[in-house]
Amino acid sequence: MQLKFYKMMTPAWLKRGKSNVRFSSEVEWNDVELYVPADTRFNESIFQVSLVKKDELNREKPYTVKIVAGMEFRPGESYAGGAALGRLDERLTAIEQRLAAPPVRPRDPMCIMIAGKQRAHGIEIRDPSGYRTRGPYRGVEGVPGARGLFDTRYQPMGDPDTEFRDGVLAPTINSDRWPQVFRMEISGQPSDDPEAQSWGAISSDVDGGHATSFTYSAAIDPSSGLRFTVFRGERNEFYRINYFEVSVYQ
Amino acid sequence: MALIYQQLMTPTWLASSAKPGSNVTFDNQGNTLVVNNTGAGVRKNLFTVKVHDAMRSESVTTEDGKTTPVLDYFKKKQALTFAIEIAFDQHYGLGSAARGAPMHPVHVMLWDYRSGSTAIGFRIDGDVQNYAKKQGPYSGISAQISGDSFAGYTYFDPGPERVVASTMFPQVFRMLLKTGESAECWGSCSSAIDSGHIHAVSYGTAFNFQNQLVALALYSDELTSSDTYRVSYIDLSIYKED
Repeated sequence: MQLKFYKMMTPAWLKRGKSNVRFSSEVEWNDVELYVPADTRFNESIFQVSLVKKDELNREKPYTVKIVAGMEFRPGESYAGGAALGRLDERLTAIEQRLAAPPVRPRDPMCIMIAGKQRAHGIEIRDPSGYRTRGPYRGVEGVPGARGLFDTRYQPMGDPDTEFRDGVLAPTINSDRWPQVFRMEISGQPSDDPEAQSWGAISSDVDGGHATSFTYSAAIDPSSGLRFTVFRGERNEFYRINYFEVSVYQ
Repeated sequence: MALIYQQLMTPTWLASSAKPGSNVTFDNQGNTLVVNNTGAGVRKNLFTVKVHDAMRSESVTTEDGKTTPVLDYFKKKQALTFAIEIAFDQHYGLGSAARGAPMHPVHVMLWDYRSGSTAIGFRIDGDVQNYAKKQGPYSGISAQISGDSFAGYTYFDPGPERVVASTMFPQVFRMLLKTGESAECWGSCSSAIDSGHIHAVSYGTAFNFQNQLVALALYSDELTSSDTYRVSYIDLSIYKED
């Protein structure tokens, strides 16, 4: 196994936006963070970066992509409770309020993914307010389009981090702190091996350390090139991205 | 090949390859390198790893079969990322006074080994009483190396809104330092404190390698002239940006 690609994607590097970086969403910048504000669309593409070009990876061999995401957190902002599920005018008012007062807390899911030509494998990082009931993250796959992510499939589907202990419903996470650093591994197998399965995992230091792993249903052909791509999960995101560190091995 | 150099610096590797500063002694316990600063002074060199010596015989084989000495990447302002993981086996309240005392701040610095050059890095604080005051265990620092000390330093603090609640020393720190002109020179430090905590810094200064010299060093605090630091390991990886 060899390291085929490595890049520390800082805000400055992403902002300079060479030919292999493409933004499709409005974002804001400063020297240490890329700030993704709220928007009106679900599963919208935020940006994508070409990692390896066509034919740089062998389609017969497994590959692994490692991603470390650094996303800082500034406590202090309270939630506009229930607004995400309220009437349309309530939701719009909540969005306007958040835009008027710059928010300091991440919210709503975000999908960090590796995309081939027709398929994307990745991880959905979830809203901290639901960590105790739904867990901090889960696997996601789908069809990457120019505008967004389609035909999404999540794994696990339900509430993966809630289980029964001695007959009592108990969360396996007892923290709703945003862990700030997320480590992801996504491995792909040769697409024509029927036994092979593509696999992913994500871990962080939340609650003293927490990992989730999952499999993907359909393979990516790495010889068609791989892209690193970030999508919104829902539309009320506020994220401060310090960096993405991405390595590709084959 | 994007990875041009990798070295896991164990206590035994450090004891034989790192150079202690004046009034600093090493006690290699095998699992830990105990660095005794017996009065080196404030902002003084604790030890230096001359990475250029360690990588002198190393080379990189690229995809086209060409072999390049690793030091060749340190002479043309090549864009590089340094990933540095450092672990301190610092114990509190366990037995001896030396082990029970909190670790005073230590500076982890990277520069081109020449006196007068700019160094970048982070200050790591082991005195947990300071965490709430300083918004966490680490701040960025840029400074000019001057002999066995540094001067003209600037600290980059996380800012008052970055509250840290925990008072547990997180022991393992991961730094990413990126070379380049002032717009690109950038660093981050993270640890597991408070379920995960990151501090990112834009140093606002040009930082490049041109003379095939590269050094990694620890410096003492600006207030305290003696302390004991227990280093478990330093893991250094250097990546070439394509």
